Amino acid sequence: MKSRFLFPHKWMVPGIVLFLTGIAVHFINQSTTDPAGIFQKIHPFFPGIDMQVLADDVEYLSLVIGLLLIAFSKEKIEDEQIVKLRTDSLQWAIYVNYGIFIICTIFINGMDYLGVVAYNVLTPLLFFIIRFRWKIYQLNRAVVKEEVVS
Amino acid sequence: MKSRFLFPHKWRLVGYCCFAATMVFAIALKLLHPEGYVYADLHQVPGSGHHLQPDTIIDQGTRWHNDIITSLIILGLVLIAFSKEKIEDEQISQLRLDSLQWATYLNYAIFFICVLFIYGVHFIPVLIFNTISPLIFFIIRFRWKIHLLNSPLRNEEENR
Repeated sequence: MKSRFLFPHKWMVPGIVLFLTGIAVHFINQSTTDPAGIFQKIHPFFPGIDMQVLADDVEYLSLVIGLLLIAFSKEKIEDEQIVKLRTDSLQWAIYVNYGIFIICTIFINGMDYLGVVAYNVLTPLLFFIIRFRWKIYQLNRAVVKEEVVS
Repeated sequence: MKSRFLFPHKWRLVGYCCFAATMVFAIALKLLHPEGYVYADLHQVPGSGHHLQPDTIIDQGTRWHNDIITSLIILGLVLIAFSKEKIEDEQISQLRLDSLQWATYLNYAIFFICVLFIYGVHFIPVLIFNTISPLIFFIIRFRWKIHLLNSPLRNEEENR
């Protein structure tokens, strides 16, 4: 059982950097009343571009690309067990995501629901990363314990 | 390698039923309100003057059937996607993992393009469709790969 379609291990670092950039841009967007005000109003190279739209694009794209790279970079050692963890975690993440989404659909209405739908783009990746990392942490701890005992 | 977190094989039928029910409902809605039922509802609001007030539009569109339809279509697609095959072996597990990753990649790739080229109110349908598109891509690719696996022509070619 081989893993396919994965990025090299090193790409996790640019992934984390992009993710942090995305979060930073997100907070800038949220905290200023004129979200693009902190940047120049007019793009230096392409005068026709609306800076608000550009800021939104940068936020979305860096968040999504960052999370994708973090989620789907190879581990240092890709063995059978890691592949199994990956499959399990991906399915688990999708189940949890749709479970929460259905609950939100039932209980959240109106404009607030738009926020739910927007966050829903990122949440499967987030759940996957959290569960996958957690399982790998548990695995490593078990290995260390065995070594100490023996 | 065992597959975990999967539904029994029979549940796929339930999934198809849920999906078919949603489709029938959607088509019926389209036939009854060709211009979109949200706007149809808006016409009935006295004194609305058909202004595009975001809150009015969304609230008018949010009825019980919206919740039920969203839940049903997701339930249906999840059941179709994650029911066990009749024979779950190593190869099927591998196909499942591959397809799931492939579907995630394709979904986000299309999402990138949409982020770059679609703005404002038109972006909302992209977000809405994005909730079910990973499952649809997964189902299509998984089924297609299983079809390839089963097709006798392919097997013969490999045997030579």
